[in-house]
Amino acid sequence: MLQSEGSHPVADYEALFDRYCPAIFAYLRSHLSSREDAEDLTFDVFVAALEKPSLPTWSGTRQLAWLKCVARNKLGNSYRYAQRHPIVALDENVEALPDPDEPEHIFLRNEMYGQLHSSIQQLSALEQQLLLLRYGHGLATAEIAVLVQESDDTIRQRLSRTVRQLRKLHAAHPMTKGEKR
Amino acid sequence: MKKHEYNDLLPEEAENQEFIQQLEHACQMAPEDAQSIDHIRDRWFKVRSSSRPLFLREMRHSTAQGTQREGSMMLTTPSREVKPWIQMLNQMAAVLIVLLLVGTLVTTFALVSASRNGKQQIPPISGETGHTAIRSGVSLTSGLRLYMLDQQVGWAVGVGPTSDNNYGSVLRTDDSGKDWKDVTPPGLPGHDVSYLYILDAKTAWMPAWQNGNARWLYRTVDAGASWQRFAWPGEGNNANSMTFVDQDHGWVVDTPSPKPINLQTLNTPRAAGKLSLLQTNDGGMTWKKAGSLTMPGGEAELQFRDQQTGWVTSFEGVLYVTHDGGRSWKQQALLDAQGSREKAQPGLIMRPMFLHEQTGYLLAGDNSSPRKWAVYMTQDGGNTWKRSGGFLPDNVGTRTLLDARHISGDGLDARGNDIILLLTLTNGQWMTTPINQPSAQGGIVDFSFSSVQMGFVLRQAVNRSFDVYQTNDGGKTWRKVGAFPKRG
Repeated sequence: MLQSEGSHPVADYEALFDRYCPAIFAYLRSHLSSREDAEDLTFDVFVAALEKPSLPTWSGTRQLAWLKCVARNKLGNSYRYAQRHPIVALDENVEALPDPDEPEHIFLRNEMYGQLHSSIQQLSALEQQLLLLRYGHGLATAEIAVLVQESDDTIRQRLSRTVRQLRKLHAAHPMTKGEKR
Repeated sequence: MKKHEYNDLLPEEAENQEFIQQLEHACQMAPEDAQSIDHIRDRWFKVRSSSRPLFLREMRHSTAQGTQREGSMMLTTPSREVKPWIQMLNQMAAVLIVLLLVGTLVTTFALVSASRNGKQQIPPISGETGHTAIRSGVSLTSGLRLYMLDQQVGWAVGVGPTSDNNYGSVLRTDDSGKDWKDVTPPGLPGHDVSYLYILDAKTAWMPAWQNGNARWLYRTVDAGASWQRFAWPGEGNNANSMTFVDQDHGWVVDTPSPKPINLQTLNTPRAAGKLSLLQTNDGGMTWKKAGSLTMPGGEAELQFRDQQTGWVTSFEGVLYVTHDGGRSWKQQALLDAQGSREKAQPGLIMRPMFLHEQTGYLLAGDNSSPRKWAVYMTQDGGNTWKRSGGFLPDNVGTRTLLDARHISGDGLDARGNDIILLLTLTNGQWMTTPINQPSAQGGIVDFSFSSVQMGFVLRQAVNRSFDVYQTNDGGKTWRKVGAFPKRG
């Protein structure tokens, strides 16, 4: 796991992929109904990165900003194309189909971290997003700032508040009231 | 290296490493996402190690760009032969563009002329029009929150039964913050109380969660003296979308049931264009589908002005308006300061807020990084939204318009402490002025200004009590007016 350090460059393409692919994929996935489309566009973004020889020499935040810009452009092309050539996704109704792994998976997770999930659910969408980018994708605050287009100071302020509030929410849960905080 | 060992560690993280590890576990990538990343990595490594030209892409999936299947090849930069009839078309297009430009110039001259003759509507600048009634409901969420509707009446949520537990109560004052009455719905476990939607002095709604899912919706129409409990509408937890225009009429976006936490589950249901807009005509007791939200990018914010007219902003930075209660939506343009359509599309638009029936505002951020925010105002009930002043200064959060030329916000001082700010529109630019804080020790928990002069601050004192301070002169002087009740 790389250290979360937004200003230092990710020195090679593989490290760049490992560090930023999850965040770029999540960004694209959040805008596309098809998982396969999100995979394809993420793939395209990182193929485009290979065509940018100077990319590994840039700072991490600049790299991420560039990757997001490419992803956004590809997303725009995708939307424009989809509007002109509407297609019916093969998996459009997949949500209606039972996923054999999902209920058990959800159950196990909720058993272990249900209380924390419960507390997180009560935060705003932006606050949840900050938590996921920070603690799910391990990004530096400067990198999160690039993704959500705010300043680093603002992100640090919001993230601190969010963690503080979440701790209080979580501590207030009947099952965790006795925990050391 | 553990993920929580960041080089840019926040003080909050340094002090709570065990909790941060729990958070990392809760936020870990879903298996299906990890599988997707593996797929992408495999394909990408093949391309890296391949000597083929990069414009020949191996496509594994059917994509929006085409229908190639696995193993097929797509030429992304096809060469084109320009044919004579295409040249003719190009010439015709050029003529059309010239005609359009001429038309635009004529229109511009007409508008400038009208402006010089005083015919163009200019928003009135009324610096002392503090609103005493909110037309748009206000949501208090994510923590210990305070909102004063005017000098007398206010609500708070999140104050708990013990000094360690800051969550669990709904409080209300009608004497300028001197006394705070606990008006929490009876029979609720404390941890479920952390969100309050306030319509006016007497009317509020409170979603209640159970095991991570929104389960109940409580409503009071008598200032918290009594509450009605309804089942939460729909499957999802999107309480942030809830909006009401009176005691009875409200809307909420029905978001599919939550899955384990990850970025995808946050936004994908919205992006899928399969969201339903639910409507109630009896304060939340019963709900029916009013329409579908299918805008590209998904719904970001929802607001209604009355039973017919409402707005949705998309994650693509587009404003949509409905005039039939949410059954149909059409795009609405934002106007620049001269009244012309904005040339650049915003990256994000926050929900419109109405101060009075005809007067309202919305905040729109551009596509730069960090995002720059601008204020758009309406003086005609939302028929037009016109830009007011330049971009807001950076690093100003929680922005609330107090009147046409004042904004209440907050930020950080040089030492990282929360400070309250007043933004003033001066010569077309928003200027920041820090507001003096109450001199007592303890951090600011929340604040609420109902006008430039009148404001309240909630401070957590050293003894962990929560004290309320009031100013009537824009922060020049503060006095402690009360404290939240302590319970054993």
